[in-house]
Formats: sequence, C-alpha cells, structure tokens
Amino acid sequence: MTIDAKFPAPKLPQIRRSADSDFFNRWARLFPSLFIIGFFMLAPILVVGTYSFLEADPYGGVRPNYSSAAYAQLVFEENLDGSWGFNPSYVKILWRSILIAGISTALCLIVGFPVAYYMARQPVDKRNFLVLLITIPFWTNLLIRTYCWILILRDTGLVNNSLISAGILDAPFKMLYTNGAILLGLVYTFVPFMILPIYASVERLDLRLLEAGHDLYATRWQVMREIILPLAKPGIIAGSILVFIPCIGAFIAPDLLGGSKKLMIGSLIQLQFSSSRNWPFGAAVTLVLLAFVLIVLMIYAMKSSGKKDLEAA
Amino acid sequence: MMENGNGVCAVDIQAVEKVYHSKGRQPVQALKKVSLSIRDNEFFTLLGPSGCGKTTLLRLIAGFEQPTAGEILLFGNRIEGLTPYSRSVNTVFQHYSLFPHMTVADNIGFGLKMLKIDQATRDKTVSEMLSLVHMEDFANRMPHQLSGGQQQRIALARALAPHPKVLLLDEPLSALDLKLRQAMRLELKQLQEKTGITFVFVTHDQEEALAMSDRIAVMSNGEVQQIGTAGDIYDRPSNSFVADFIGETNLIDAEITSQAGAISNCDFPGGTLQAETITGRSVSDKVTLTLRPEKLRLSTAEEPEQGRMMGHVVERVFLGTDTTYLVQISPEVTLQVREQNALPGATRFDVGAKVSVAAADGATRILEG
Ligand SMILES: Nc1ncnc2c1ncn2[C@@H]1O[C@H](COP(=O)(O)OP(=O)(O)OP(=O)(O)O)[C@@H](O)[C@H]1O
Ligand SMILES: [Mg+2]
Repeated sequence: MTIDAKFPAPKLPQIRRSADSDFFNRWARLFPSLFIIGFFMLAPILVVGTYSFLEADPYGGVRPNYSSAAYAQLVFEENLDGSWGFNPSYVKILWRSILIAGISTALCLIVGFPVAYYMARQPVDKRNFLVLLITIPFWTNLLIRTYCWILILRDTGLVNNSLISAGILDAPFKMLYTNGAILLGLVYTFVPFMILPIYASVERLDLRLLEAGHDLYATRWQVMREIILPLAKPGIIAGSILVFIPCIGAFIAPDLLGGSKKLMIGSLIQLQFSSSRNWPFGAAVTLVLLAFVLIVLMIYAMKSSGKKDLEAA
Repeated sequence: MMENGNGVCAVDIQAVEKVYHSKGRQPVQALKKVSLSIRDNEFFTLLGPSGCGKTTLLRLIAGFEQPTAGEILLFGNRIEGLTPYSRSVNTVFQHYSLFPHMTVADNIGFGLKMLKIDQATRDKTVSEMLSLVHMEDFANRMPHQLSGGQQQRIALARALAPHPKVLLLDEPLSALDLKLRQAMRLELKQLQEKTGITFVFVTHDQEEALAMSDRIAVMSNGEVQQIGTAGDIYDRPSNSFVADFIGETNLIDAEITSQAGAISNCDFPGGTLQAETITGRSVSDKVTLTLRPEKLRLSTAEEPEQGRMMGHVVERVFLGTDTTYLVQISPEVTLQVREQNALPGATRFDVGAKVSVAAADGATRILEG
C-alpha cells in the first residue's frame, strides 16, 4: 500500500466506543441470521457429513465407528474374491441425473418462456389472475398429482385407451416407465419455477424499447433476440437454477414415472435411507451432489461477476 | 400531391383521423381531418399544447399506429400497412429509449446492424455519428452512465445513423435544462442543414418552434390551426388560438365602423384602431383584433388621437430586459404593453400613472377565425 504511505489518511476525531458495545454491535445484530444459517443449514450438513464417515448398521442407522467405505462404494465395488474393482454404476446414475435435469431445464425454458412472455404482456388485472392460475397445481399434493400422471400414461390409461378406441392405435404405446415419462413429470412439476422469474423480468421490460427496436428496422424476431432475451436474461438464469437444482435431486417423478430401472440420484439417496438401510452411503451421495451443485453455482457466479467487471471497465 | 417549387414532398398527410378505442371508455378522437405536406429537407415543427395530438401524428408517420381514416404518403408512396421496421423513418423518442444492455456504440450501430450492414461500415458510421454529436469519448459507456443531455445526443445519433429519409423528434429537448436546451436548438438546426434529412420536430414550446423551424404547424385539439413560417404565424396569426398561443398578444373585441379600401377602422370601448381590411369582414361586423404587446408604446398622457388610447397603469412586471405594463383603457379593455428597459430615455411608469398607449403602424390585425 504505497499510496497509503504517500498520502496518510487525515486524522479525524475518532468516536470512541467501548469494546463491549463494539462486540455487541457486531454480533448481536448478526445473531438472527447466524442462528438461522447455523441451525437450519450448517447443522444438518454437519450431521450428514458425520454420518457419511460412519459404519452402516444393517438394521438402519449407523454404528459409531469411523469408516470411509461409503465414499469407496461410490466408485469401487468389492468383488467376490475380496479385491476391489471399479464400479461405474453410481457415476452413471449421477451423469444420467445431470443429463435429465439439464434436458428438463431446457424443456421448461422452451415451454415456460412463451407462457411467461404472454402473461407479462396482458393487461395488469388479467396478469395477476394468470399468476394465480400458475400456482394452482401447488394446491394439491405433488404425490397425488404424479399418481394422476400414471393413470394418464399407463398402457390402459387415459391416452392409450382413447387412442385405441378411436382406432388410431392397435396396441398400447408404451409411455409409462420411460425417460420421456420422467422428463414429462419433471417439466410438469418444475415449470412454474421457470415461468415466474421470467414473468417478473419481462413484466419490468420497458415496452417503449421494443418500439425503439422496430423503429430501427428490427423485425419481431430480431427484437426478441436483440432486446427482449438479453433483458430477460436475469429471469431466465434464475428460473434455470430454480429448475435444474431440484430436478437433479428429484425422486418422486423418477420413481413413480420412471420405474425402478431408471434410477436417478434422488431415488438412490432415498433408497439408502429406506429399503437399502445404508445411511452412510446415502449421506455420502448427498454430499457429492451438494458439492457438484455448489461448484456449478460458483462457476456461474464467477462468470457473471467477471462480465460485470468487463462492463464497468 | 406535389409541393410547389421545392420538389417532392417528404410526408404528405391527407385528411388523417385517429380515434383511440379503449375497452370500457369513451373513444378519444386524437386527430380530426389533419392535412399537411412536409417538404423534403425541411425542418418542420408540430407545435401545440399538451394533448393536442402531436405524438399521435408522429406515431402514425412512424407506423406504430394506423390511421382511422385518411392517408399518409412518404415521398409519394402510400405507407398504409407497412410495419415500422420497413419505413425509412427514424424517431428520437421523448424518453430516449436507449437500449440499457448495450454500449453507446452498439446503440448507435443498432439500426445498421438490423439492416445487415457489414461491421466495418458500421464502425465507421458509428464514429462519424459520435463526432457529429460531440460524444467521441463515450463509445464504450453504458447508457445509465450518461447524463440526460448526453443520452439525448446518443438517441439523436442512433436515429441518424441509418440515414433515414425522415427523422421524427418527439419533444427531444424537454428534459434538458434551459442552457443546454438553447445550445441544442442551434445544434439541431445545424445538424439538419448539414445532413439534409427532413426533420419533423414536435414541441409544445413556442420559443423552440420559432427558433428552429422552416415551417410550423400549430395544432390544437387534434386539428391543424395554421401552417406557415415562424414570421407568418407570429405576424399573421389566422385565429385567436394561434395569436394567443404564439407569443403574447392582446385580443380585443371590436366592431368595424368604416372601411376605406385596404383600411378598416375598428371601434372598441376606449379607442379606435386601424387595421388591414380582410375579405369577408365588412362594416358593422364584430371582429377580434390582435395587437402584440411589444408593438405598443407608452408615453405620458396626451390627447387621444388616431391609434392612441388613454388609460392608467394597473400593474407593472419587471422581466429583466423588458417591463410589462397592464394599462386599463376602459372598464372592458386592458392592454398589455411591453417596453424595452435598455432603450435610452425609457421612462418608468408607476402603478396608477395616467398614460397614453400608441400602436405602431400595421401592428393591429383582424383575425379571420
Ligand atoms: N393509446 C391511447 N389510448 C387512448 N387515448 C390516447 C392514447 N394515446 C393518446 N391518447 C389521447 O389522444 C390525445 C392526443 O394525445 P397525444 O399523445 O398525441 O398528445 P400530445 O400532443 O403528444 O401531448 P403531449 O404534449 O402531452 O405529449 C390525448 O387526449 C390523449 O389522451
Ligand atoms: Mg406527446
């Protein structure tokens, strides 16, 4: 800090505070937020972290002995002869989950953006009503709604039965227990989380900018690409995060609509705490997933702050 | 329709009407049978009070609204049904509407980019435009980092960059302070002469209109009241609205008592004034006279004679360069008189002083409407 040396800070009269009140000011005001973060976020993660390094009890729960078997189990398996070999199945499940979550996010964006844009361009009184409509699915339990999809999609379900009785199909078209069904369930569940942030950012858009765009020879499509999309970007990014992250860990839709063969990481974790009774392994998978999500978010945060620096320069 | 002399006309507005319909509300007639022709290379001003339909007329030319009736021609071609992006018309919006997510340079280059002009030509035009509006150093700023006046210049540069045939300007100076506004008036006028682009300029500030325009259309209540040069509408207003709206004036209800060829004698309580005879007004007709305050002179009370009225000062307002007096010449008629302060030998009259008011030759005019 050579600058400091050259230009020493002018000596201003200091308002003297006792050490006590300093301490009070610093910590007491932070206490509510520290308490919430500590109690509701850090403590559960610590518990999960601890469990992941303990030995599994075959009857559920853990035994208080240190073990890193849970993490080893992620990528290795014990062969019959007692040696350890590479086991890609869990990595595959993680990769599948990322892929399906990514595709679901993209589909949510494709479905959600036009809906959000349409909503935001309606007269004000109609807009509030439409937002209310978007929230209607939340009034019923997700499990029940997902079971309804089974009734619709299964071989003897609503779609197949009506297509067959209309003579369009001879035999039922298999929809349930496919990747398509999982995607459908995820998009159905999470599309409101994409619509609402995009709606919020498009609603704030100054419509006069669109006129200015048209005035400067931009066609409708060019106005969309050059003006609306860039200005709606914060909403699109927020929506994508809000959809992608719960999609990765989702287990209701993959379980019910994907069947047992199409395991996703959320279902895997859920299994460890129920029928498989391997709590440490469930905890380890949870932490790996958490770490992955954090890394993705951090890369995004670093990228966007880097761009801001560039703009300011 | 071709304009005489000057060649083609850039914008031809023929009996255009505009009615806004909105659900559950009375329809609003914003324009009533407006007809006017704007010549090529002209600085044309639409002047009128708030709500008279100026913005509506601009939006019709730009293509953001469709006329309810009538037609608009651009260089002789009908433009009905053409989208805004296929009209060679650019707008400087009242609120600038710069794109907040683009740099100044990208804003200026936007129109050219949409027209698929190559990058090199675009860069060249952008830097030309920046120097035209004296903003060379601001190319990489974002709009929110500019002052109001700077944003206004960028909005102007952005609209000029694609070199439109017609530039529409919707009260672009209204957000600026007085000094900057006056400077920008001159700059705009010079810019128009330099580029040769037809400017259609909207304002409700009559001073602005008089200072810059080749011709002015005075509007009121969705109708064109008068079209003419600044001198025309100031010296020969066609009706009391124009006379009152442009500058200040005394409007006097009078009666024509006699006519001698080109001269009509008009009587009103407190005096008689001579004015040029106009067609359609003859002896014993009731007329309205207009008389500009600066064309009246005050002197110490003398005997009344032709063009001279007797009265007393009821109020005096000091305005810096001028002083305005209100002189009552009869219970019905009070005249506003403006005297220049710097004139040698100018006398100051106190409230209550008896004075005589003299009108300059040819200062009194009979209004047609
Ligand atoms: N979209 C609209 N819907 C209904 N009425 C409108 C609409 N736009 C304008 N009007 C009405 O039309 C009339 C003319 O409006 P316009 O905006 O053209 O006025 P203006 O001369 O530009 O006024 P200002 O100087 O205040 O900008 C006004 O009475 C206004 O209320
Ligand atoms: Mg307006």
